[in-house]
Amino acid sequence: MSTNNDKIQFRGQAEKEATQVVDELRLGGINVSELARQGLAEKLRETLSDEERIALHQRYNKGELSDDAAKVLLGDAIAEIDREREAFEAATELETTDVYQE
Amino acid sequence: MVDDDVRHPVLVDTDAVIAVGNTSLWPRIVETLKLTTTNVCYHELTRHKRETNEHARDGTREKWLHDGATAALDAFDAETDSCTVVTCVPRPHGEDAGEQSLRTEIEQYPDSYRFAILMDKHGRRSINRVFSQADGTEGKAVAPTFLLYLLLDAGECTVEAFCHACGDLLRGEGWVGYQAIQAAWEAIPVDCAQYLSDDLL
Repeated sequence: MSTNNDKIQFRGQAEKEATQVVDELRLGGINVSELARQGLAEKLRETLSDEERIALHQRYNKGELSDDAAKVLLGDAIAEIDREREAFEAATELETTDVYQE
Repeated sequence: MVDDDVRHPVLVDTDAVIAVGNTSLWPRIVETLKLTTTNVCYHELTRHKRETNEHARDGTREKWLHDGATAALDAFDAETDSCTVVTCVPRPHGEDAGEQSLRTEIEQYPDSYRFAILMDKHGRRSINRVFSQADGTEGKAVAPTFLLYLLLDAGECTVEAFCHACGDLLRGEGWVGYQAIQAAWEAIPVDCAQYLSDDLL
């Protein structure tokens, strides 16, 4: 649920003007909040270095980062690691005796 | 290069052998496991070795490619039949030719292969589809960490050596390598925290 506390505000005269122009251009207007949320999440993900992503995932593993924030910052990586773990587990169940040299 | 079309159950692609070729456990992998790659991957390795400088700075992608390709080629060039190169027909071309060649091999010889080792997750997904469509065979496409696991599982390396090799992989493969390592650690399961420094994690 949205509360007043989750409000993000920032300055941007040109951006505000540009937003208004597009809003007037479209019949139903545009959902500025939704665009801003998506754009911000995308840009946050883009700015992260590999080291930062790894550090953030470590924090997530330790329970120091919420699921929601992790999803914004790491995208589908958490689900991806889960999928890969399942594939890896399935692979460990398969016969391996003939993969070794005699 | 042994090109006698001996197909071992473990099929590796270019990026996968470059990744593990850079780890401290690569010599152990070569002594212990039987690996097969395709002529397409072999040529990609040759090209990486030729087009990169062996004196490139440590920690650069160029150095990683050069060292990994060199280590891998040494193994596939050795006159033993434990590392073999099979000829893929028809020969794929283009950027993901190596990965494509693995898919073609598995489609044509589904009974010969059980493990396809690829660094790229999309590649693994597409090969897992091929494995699941093949009748009567069980196979899985997994990340290069699986080769390290095979050593660990057979008692051919210690947990400490396994963890250090994961650390090597992490250094060169960054976030993509990290995801593969996390998945492996959770699946085995194994705790490497005591062996790897915090700055690596």
